[in-house]
Amino acid sequence: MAEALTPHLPQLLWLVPLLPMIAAGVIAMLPNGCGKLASKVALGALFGSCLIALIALVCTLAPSSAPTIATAHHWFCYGDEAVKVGVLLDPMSASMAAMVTFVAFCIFVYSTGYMETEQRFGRFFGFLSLFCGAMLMLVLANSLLLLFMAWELVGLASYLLIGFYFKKPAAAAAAQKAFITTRVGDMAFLIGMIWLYRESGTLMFYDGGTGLLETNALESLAAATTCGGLAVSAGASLLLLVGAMGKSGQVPLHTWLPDAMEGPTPVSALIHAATMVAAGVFLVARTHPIFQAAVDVDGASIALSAAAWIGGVTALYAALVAMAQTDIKRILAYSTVSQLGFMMIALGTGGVAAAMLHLICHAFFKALLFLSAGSVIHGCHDEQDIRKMGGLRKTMPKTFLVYAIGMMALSGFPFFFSGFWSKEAVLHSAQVWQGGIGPFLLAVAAALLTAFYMTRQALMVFFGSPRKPGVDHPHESPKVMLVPLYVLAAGAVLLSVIGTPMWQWFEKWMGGEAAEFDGGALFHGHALGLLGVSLAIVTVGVGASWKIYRNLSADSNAPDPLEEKLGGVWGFLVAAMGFDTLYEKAIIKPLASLACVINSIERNIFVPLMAALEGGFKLFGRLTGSTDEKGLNRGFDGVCSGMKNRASSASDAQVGRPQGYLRAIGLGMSVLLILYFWLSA
Amino acid sequence: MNYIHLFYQLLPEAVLVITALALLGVAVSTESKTKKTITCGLASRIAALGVLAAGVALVFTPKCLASGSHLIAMDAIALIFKGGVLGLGFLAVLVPPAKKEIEHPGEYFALMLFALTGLTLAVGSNHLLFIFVALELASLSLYLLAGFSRTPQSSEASLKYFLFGAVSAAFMLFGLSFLYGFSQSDTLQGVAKAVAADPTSVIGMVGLLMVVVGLGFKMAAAPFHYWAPDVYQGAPVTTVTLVAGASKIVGVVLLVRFLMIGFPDAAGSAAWGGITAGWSIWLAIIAAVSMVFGNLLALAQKSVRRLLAYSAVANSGYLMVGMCAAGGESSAAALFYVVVYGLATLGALVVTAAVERDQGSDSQAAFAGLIHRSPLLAVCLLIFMTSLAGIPPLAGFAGKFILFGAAMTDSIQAENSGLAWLVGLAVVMSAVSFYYYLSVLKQAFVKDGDGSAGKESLSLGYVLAVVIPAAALVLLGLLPSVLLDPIKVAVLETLGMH
Repeated sequence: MAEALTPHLPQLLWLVPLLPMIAAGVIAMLPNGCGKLASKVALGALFGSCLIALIALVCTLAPSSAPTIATAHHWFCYGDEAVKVGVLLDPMSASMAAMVTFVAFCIFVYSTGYMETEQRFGRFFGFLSLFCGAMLMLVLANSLLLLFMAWELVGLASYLLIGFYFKKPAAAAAAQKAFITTRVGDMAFLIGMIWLYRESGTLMFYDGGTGLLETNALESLAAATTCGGLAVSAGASLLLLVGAMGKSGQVPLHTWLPDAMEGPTPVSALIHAATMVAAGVFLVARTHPIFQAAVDVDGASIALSAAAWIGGVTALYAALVAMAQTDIKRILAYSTVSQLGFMMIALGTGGVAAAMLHLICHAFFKALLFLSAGSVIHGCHDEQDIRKMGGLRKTMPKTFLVYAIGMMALSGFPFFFSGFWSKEAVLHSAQVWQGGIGPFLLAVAAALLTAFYMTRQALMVFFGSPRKPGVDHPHESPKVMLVPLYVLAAGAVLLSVIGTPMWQWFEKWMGGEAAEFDGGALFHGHALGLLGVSLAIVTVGVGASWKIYRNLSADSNAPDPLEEKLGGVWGFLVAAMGFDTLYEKAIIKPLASLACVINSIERNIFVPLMAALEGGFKLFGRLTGSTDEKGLNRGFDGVCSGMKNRASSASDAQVGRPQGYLRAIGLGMSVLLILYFWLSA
Repeated sequence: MNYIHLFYQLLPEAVLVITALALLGVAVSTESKTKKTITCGLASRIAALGVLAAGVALVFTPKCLASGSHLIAMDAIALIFKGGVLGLGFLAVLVPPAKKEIEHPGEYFALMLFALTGLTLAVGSNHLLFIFVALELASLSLYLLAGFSRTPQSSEASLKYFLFGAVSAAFMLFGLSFLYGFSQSDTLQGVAKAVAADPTSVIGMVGLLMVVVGLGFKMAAAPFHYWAPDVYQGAPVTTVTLVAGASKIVGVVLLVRFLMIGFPDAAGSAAWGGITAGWSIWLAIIAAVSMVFGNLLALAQKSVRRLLAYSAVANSGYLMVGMCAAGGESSAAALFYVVVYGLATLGALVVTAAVERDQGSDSQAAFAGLIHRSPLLAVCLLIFMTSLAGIPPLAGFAGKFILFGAAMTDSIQAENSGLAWLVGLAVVMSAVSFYYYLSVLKQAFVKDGDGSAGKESLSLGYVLAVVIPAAALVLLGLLPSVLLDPIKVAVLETLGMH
C-alpha cells in the first residue's frame, strides 16, 4: 500500500494537518449535545492523519541526505513577490508527525473516558482537533512563515484548553499567563523571521537551492554582519532561540508552564508535555543549520552556546524546584521543563539527533506519566496533593504498573527504558562538546535530581498507607482509559532499541546514513565511562530518595522529611525560587500603574473626543437616512395605496417624490458629464 | 453562419430555457388536474437540477472565439463568469421560499431560470444590442420576481425596482444608440476602433457615460442605488440572492467589457494631482460617493436586509476603485472580488432568511442567541460577515488586498501617487464597515436569546446554500490563486484580443 501511495505523498501530506482542522471546523458547527458524535469525528480524522503519517514515515526510511519531499507552491503574489508555502518530509518531520499523531490518538481515546461527565465534551474535542491540526502543520511546514502561523495557532489552542474550565479563576488566569508569556518569545521569533526575510528574500526551508537551509542562503547569512560584528545568522538565530524559549518553557520564560496544569489532564499530557512545548525544541532543531552557519574555530557559535547554557540552567533549576512540590501534576510540569532543558543542551552542543530522540521518547513516557497521574486523580476523586495519597499500589495496581514504567523511563533506569538511552545520547553530546564542560555538569546534576524527585513522588503516591483521613475508596480507572496507557507504556519501553550505542539507528537515520549493528560499541572506553556515570546517577538518586521517604509519616500534614534538613532553602524551592514574585514586582506592578495613567488620559481626553465624533456620524447617518427612508418610503407607500384604491387621479400628485429620486440618476449623470467637459476644456 | 455551432455555444442557456418551460408545464398540468399547485420544494429541486445541468453543459461548451455570429462571444471571461453566474444562481434556487409567501412556485422558479438565462447571455456578448436584450430579459424577470409575494412591501419593492430599472434602461439604450451612431458598428470591437481613431469624441463619451449609469444601477452604486434597500427588504429572499449575487457579477463583467474593450484609450486618469478627462475619474467619483454613503448609511440600519443593501452599495464602490485604475490586473482583481462578495452576501442573505422564517423579523435583535439555536447558521454567518468585513484568512480579505493592491500598482505613475487617495478612502471605509458587520455577529454570538424560540430546523436546501459558500470563502481565502489566476489569464487574453 505504501508503494502505491508514494507518488501522491506530496498531496496526501497536506491531509495530515488538514483532517484534524476540518474536524475542528465541523465540530464547531455541531449543535450542543452532540458530544459523542464530536469525539467520533475527531478520532476518525486523527486516525486518518495517523495512517498517512505512518505511511510517510515508512517512505523516509531509506537513507538519504536530501529531504524525501520538499514542495513549494505559490500561495499568493503581490507585485513581484510571491509568498510560497509547502510541506517538508524528512526524517525529522516524519518522526515528529508520526509521534504526534500516535500519542495524540492515545490521548484522544483516553479523553473519551476522562472527560465523559464534562458538559462541553464536544467543544473539548473541537479544541483538541484544532490543536492537532496546527501542531502537524507546524511539524510538516516547509517555510518559516507557515511554521510561524501554525505556531501561533497551537498557542491559541493551548490558551483555549488551559482555560477550558474558564469559570475557575485560577484556570482563566493561567490561560492568560501562558498566552502573554509565550507572546514575549513569539515577538522575538517574528522579528527574527522578518530579519531573515530581509536578508535572504525567502522563508522557505528547502526550495531547489534557494531555501534558507540550503548552502547559498546560509553562506550569505553567515557572511553578512550586523552591529558589533555579529553575523546575521547568529543574531537571527538568537531571536529564534528566544521564541523557542517562550514556547518550550526555558528559564526565564518558564513560569507559565507549571500554571498551565490548570487545564484538563489530557491537555497537560498532550500539549504541555508531549507535543506543543517541544515545538520550541523542534524549531531550533529545524533551523539548526542557521544556528550553525557561523561557528567559531572550536565548533561553538554564540547562539548554540546560549542554547546549551540556557538548557543546562533550566534543567537543573526545574529539577531542584520539582523536589519540593506537592501537587502531582506540578511535579510533572517542572520535570517537563527540566527535560526540555536537556533537549536544549543537546541542541546547543550539536546533538540534533540526540535532542530529537529525547523529544520523541520523552513524549511517550511523559504523556504516559500525565495520563496515569490523571488516572490517579480520577481514582482519588480529584485529589491532586501527593501528601494526601499513599498506598495506591494496592487499590490501583494497573495504574501503578504503567506509572512505574513511565517513572523509570524518566528517571533513567538502565537498559530497558527509552529514557535511559536518550538521556545517554544527550549526555554524550554534552560531554564531547568543545565549548566547555559546564552544560555537561549541569545535566548530570539535573539527571541525579530527576531520579530523586521521581522516586519521591512514586513513594508518596503508591507506597505506604493511605494518608487522607476518611479516604473515599480510590478505584481503578475504566478500560477506555487504561488501554491507551498500556500502548504508551509499550512505546516507552520499545523505543529504547532505536537509540542505543550498539545500534545508533535513529542518529544515523537523521543524518541520512544507514545504521549498522555494532555490539562492541557499548564497551568502548568512552561509552562505558558514560554508562558508569549514568548508573551511578540513578543509583544515588533513587537510593537517597528511598532512604528519606521510605518510612513516611501517616499524617498528611507532617512536614516533608527533606524540609527539616534544608531549612530555609526548602521554602525557596517551594516558591519556585521566587520568579513569579519577581515578575509581579518588576514587570506587572509597573505596567499596571502605567495602565492606570493611560486609562485616565483615555477617559479624560479620548472618550469625549470619540463621543463627539460618534455624535457627528450618527447625526449624518440619521439625516441622510431619514431623507432616504421617510422621503422615499412615504412616497412609495402613497403610490401603493393609491393604486390599491384605483384612484388614478390621485397618483399624479403622489408620484412627485419618487420622481425626484429618479431625477438623481439624471443629476448624477449630468454632474459627471459637466466634469468631463470641464476637464477636457 | 453555422447554426449547429451556435446551438452548441448556447447549450447552457438552452438547458435553462427548456427546464423553465418544463417546470411551467409540470406546474400548469398539476394545477389543472388536482387544483393544487406544486410544492415549493419540488419546484426548487427541478430548477436546481436545471441549473446544474446547465453547468454541466457549460463544461462541454467549446471555447471558441469565432462563433460564426458576432452576437456571441464565448471567450475565457464569458466561460468563467457564466460558471460564476450559474453557481450563484444554483445556490439561489436552492433556498425554497415559504409556501405562504409564494402562491405559484412553478411560475416563480421558471422566472428565476429566465432571469438566469438573461444574465448568462449578457456575460457572453460583445454586441451592443444583444447585451441590452439579454439584460432586459433578466431585468424584467427580476421585477416580476421582486413583486411575487403580494405583500405591500413586495409590491413596493417591485414597483420601485421597475421604475428605477426602466429609467436606467432608457439611459443605457440611449447610450448604446449614441455608441452605434458614433462608431457605425454594433460590436464593442468596432467601438474600440472608432475610439482609437478619435479618443476625444464627445458623442462616444456621452454614450459611454449613459451606459455606465445603466450599469451603475445594476451594481447599486450611489447615486443610482435608491431601489436597493427596499428591494433587499421587500422582495422574496430568493430573488434578493439573485439580485445581490449573479446580477452584480454581470454588472462588473459588462463594465469591464465596455471600458476595457470598447474604451481602453479614453480612460484618462483619476490620479491625485494628475486628473485628466476620461471615464476613470467618473468611476472614482461614483466609487467615493458609494463607499461613503453605503458605509455610513449601513451604520444606522436595524434591519439586516437593509444593512446588506447598503453594504452592497459600499461594495460596488470598492469594485469601482479597482475598475478606475484601468489596468488588466486591477480589472481581474475586481472580477475576483465580485465573486467573493457575491458568495458572502448570498450566504448572509440565506442565513437572514432562515432567521426571519423562524423569528418573524430580520431585525438585528432577531439574531440574538443564534449560536445556541443553530451553531451551523451562526458559524457560517461568522464566515460571511467576517469575509465581508475583510478579515483574514477569509476570501474577503484576499479579495480586498488584491483589489486595492492592484489598483495601486496599476494606477501609480512616476510623478504622482496614483489612486492612493481613493484606496486610502476605501481602506478607511472598510474599517467603518467592521462596525455594522460585527454588530450582527455580536447579536448572534454574545447576546442571549429570549430562550422562547426553539431550534432552527433547516432543510437540505438551506444547509447547502450556507455551507457551500462558507466552504468556498475559506478555500478562496487560503488559496486565492485557484480562482484569481484563471481570471487574470482570461482578462489578459480577452483584452489582448483586439
